[in-house]
Amino acid sequence: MKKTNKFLTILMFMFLYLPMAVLIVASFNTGKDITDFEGFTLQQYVRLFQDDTLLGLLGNSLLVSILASFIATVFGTLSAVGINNLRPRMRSLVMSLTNIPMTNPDIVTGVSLSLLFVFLGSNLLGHKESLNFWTLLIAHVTFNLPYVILNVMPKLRQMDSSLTDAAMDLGCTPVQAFFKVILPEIMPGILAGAIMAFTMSLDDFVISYFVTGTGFITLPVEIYSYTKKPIQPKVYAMFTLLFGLIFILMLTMNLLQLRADKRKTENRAKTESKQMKLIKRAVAFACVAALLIGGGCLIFSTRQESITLNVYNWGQYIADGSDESLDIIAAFEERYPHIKVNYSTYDSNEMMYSKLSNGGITVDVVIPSDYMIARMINEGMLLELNFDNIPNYSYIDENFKGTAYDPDNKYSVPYTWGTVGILYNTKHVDEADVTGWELLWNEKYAGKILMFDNSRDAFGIAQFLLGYDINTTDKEQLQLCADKLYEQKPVVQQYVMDQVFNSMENEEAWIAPYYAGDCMVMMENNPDLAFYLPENQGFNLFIDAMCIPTCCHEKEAAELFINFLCDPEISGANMDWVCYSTPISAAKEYLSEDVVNDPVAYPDEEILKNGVSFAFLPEDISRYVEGLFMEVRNK
Amino acid sequence: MSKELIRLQNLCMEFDGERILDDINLYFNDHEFLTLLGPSGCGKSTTLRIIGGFLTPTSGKVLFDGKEINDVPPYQRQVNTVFQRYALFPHLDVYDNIAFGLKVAKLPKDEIDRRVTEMLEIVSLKGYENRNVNSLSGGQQQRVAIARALVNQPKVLLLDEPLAALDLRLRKDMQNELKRIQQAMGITFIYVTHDQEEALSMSDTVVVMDKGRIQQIGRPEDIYNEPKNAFVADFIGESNILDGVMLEDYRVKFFGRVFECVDKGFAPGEAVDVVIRPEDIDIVPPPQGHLIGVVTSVTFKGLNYDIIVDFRGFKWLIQTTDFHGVGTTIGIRLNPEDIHIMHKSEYSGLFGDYSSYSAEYDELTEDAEDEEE
Repeated sequence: MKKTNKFLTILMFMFLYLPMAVLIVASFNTGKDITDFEGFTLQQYVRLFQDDTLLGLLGNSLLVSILASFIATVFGTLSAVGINNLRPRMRSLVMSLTNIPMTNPDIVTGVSLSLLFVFLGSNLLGHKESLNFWTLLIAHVTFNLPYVILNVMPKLRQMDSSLTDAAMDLGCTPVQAFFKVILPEIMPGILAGAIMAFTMSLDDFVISYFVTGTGFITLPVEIYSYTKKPIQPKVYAMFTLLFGLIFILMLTMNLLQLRADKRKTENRAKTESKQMKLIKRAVAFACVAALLIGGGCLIFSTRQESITLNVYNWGQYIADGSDESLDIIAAFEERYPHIKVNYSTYDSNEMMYSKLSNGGITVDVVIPSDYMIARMINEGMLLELNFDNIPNYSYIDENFKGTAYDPDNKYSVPYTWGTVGILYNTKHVDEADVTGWELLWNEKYAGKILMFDNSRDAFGIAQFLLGYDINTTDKEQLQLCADKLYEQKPVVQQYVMDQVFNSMENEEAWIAPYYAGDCMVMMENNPDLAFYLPENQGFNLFIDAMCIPTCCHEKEAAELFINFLCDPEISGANMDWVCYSTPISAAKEYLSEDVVNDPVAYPDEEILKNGVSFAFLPEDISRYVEGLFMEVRNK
Repeated sequence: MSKELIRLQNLCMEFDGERILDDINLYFNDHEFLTLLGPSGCGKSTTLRIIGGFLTPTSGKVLFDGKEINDVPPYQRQVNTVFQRYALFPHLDVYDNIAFGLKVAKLPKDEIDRRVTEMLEIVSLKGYENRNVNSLSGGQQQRVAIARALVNQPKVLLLDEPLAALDLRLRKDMQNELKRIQQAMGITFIYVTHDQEEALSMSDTVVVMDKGRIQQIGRPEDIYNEPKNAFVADFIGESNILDGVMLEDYRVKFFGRVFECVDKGFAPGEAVDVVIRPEDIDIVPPPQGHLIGVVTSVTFKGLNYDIIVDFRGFKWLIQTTDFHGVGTTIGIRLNPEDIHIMHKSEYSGLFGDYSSYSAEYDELTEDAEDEEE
């Protein structure tokens, strides 16, 4: 029993700490790749400390978490004292109420806080940018509070309640009694609560993501967007340092606890050892449970005899049966019962790219956008398709064959396409001002304009406005574009992607450039919105297409899936829900007439000719653009 | 007579509509060792907490030196408290615990040092200055608690069952110690306990309480020898309580027999409670006895035997040093001074019948009381 205990403990620690070990090793690696360790270097740390943006973000994170945990500790401690003084029944009620936010999913907390802030900010204070540093801080204090209360409460309950009486008896006022007697007694709980709050705050992404504006971004939120491209090794270095910091904090906390325990009397030690026994049992139990679950999953997954097809697609980008639509995946599985689709999503090309290039996953079908396909072809990340297995390819309109990103039609089958135009609110925007991309620079609507929060689309608009090629590699032109975007900054309310839906539908913003398909969704939700395509200046025509990456395991099944999606009836049913345009004309008869005749979804052939697709940009240029955009956005 | 220090006037206390104290009138003299004695829930601790300032009475007045102090917070009262479980500050050592009150009062450092050292000597804890209070024994912690309170030179020291957590031997030692300290310091002690022996052996004055009311106030001897009602008679020591009729002064009739007694002042023919202490009863051969009964149970108590004797269906407790086996027929004699007569009260008939007596039963109830506290 002892041996198995030891073994399980070691196994558990491996589970827990192996990932950290890999990260730490990676941070000292001279090689670019995690897969092979080439040599030891501190270069990444040097680079980290030269990177002002990264350090600035780390500073932001530390600032928020220190402030938030401090405020939460003060308020939490006071609340705990207050709650402790309540009558027992009231106390347990209040305690369960304070515990609920902690068990609440972060995403719910985040969204509800963000709604509250926007509501209060716009309705009471009339702020155009209601989400900022202060909302972030308030949110962090909010979710930290229960952790502090939860840590302080037991200490208060353990404390002899007559200590306060004793202090007052000896001449202390209630306030003096708190500082001289109660505080030292519950200090370990306060420290534990503060450290817990600090770490929770430091690594919070979900809540921060929803409650922060563009003005102040924390490290986790930024790191999340970093995953859109391969993570740079200097980030490993930073993580290693962060891990070290937390590790030392926890270690000191435990040492403090240990020292406090040593001071306890002998009979206390007896109960302590009982607790240790309990802890040991709990740990062993957790290990066994984890093993059973893990083993169960393993057995279950190997027992599956059918083919598993891994489809990796944008979120909300396939009809899923909701709103009376056809569940495309279910339909596919019904037609090909031996194939089981394992569907997962990403929220940007870059995220998908970094997942695939970081390796370690299997993807059979992926649906990137044009320029990303070009890049992946260029980097040998895609397999050539066997069109014998995709007879439905013949339905694809000629317009979408032989594109800039895949000129020989070897690697991709178009899935959807669309234009990028301007969505504006007819109630607030003068029709006469809607003349072209310059609308996004119009000072008349300062503070009500949203802008793309991604470099390629943002630069594309500047390039159309300045009359440059959107696939230019000329650094001088790019610098001028950056200047142009910088010039726009004062009138921009926020740089956004998906938040555009809320802002535009709720009329917090009046003007935003966005993808036509999404614009149609917003126009449906708010009839005052209108779409304008600057056909004379030029606009981006984007195509998302289905590809098979090199990490594919089931190529034939993947081609079967692609073929299935090109079936006009399926494509029609799918696009009816997705709201993007289909590259298959034959599918239009399965779409509602309103959509087919909508110039937003299907502009005239004549107009479409002015659309330009993104093509592949060399690595150094795309990085340069990214850097320029970061500068525009953050400075 | 020494001067009056604290007076409680028509003190009432209610919690959630429940009356804890019912019209308490009481005064405390300077230099007095006064004990509030009663079963748990009788209101003795509540009274103490009101004097300490931790509770505000629902109605009535607390006077200190003639001035009302109802609204004076504890930290401004000239009293200090020794709490039931000592309430020592675990994060401070012995010295700092004792010096706590003086430091709060911001006395000069050398005076603090002098007074703490002096106090440590009084409670025999010299050399323990830097010990952690958690490492001390119960008795030592107790003495730290007393020192911590006394070092502030209060006019009154309140002690809330301070010996309850100690074992019997230590409790006896500490009783003497407390009495010695009280006499040495010459201050008023107000002591709360449910242990009648403790109350009788230490106090100048005992206040017996039950159900939020004072049942009797008096010197320990008076309380023991002249209990006012069946409750006091039973709570202070063991008593056989019988129904009787006062025929005239010095003559009482019970068990169909007329006895001489030392009590007077009752209405002729008044129904009364007759108290006979078990240790006052003389056992004689049956022919010489006033009453004759049969021993039904014998318990060895060390110093004596507790025997239960059945007198015509009414069982008495008798304490004797001689052994009388179960089934033995014995006679008893009662001297006039062994018989104590009380007016009938609400407690009549509730106490003093040993028909269901069992030594174990007594211990059980005592344990239950301890837990409640």
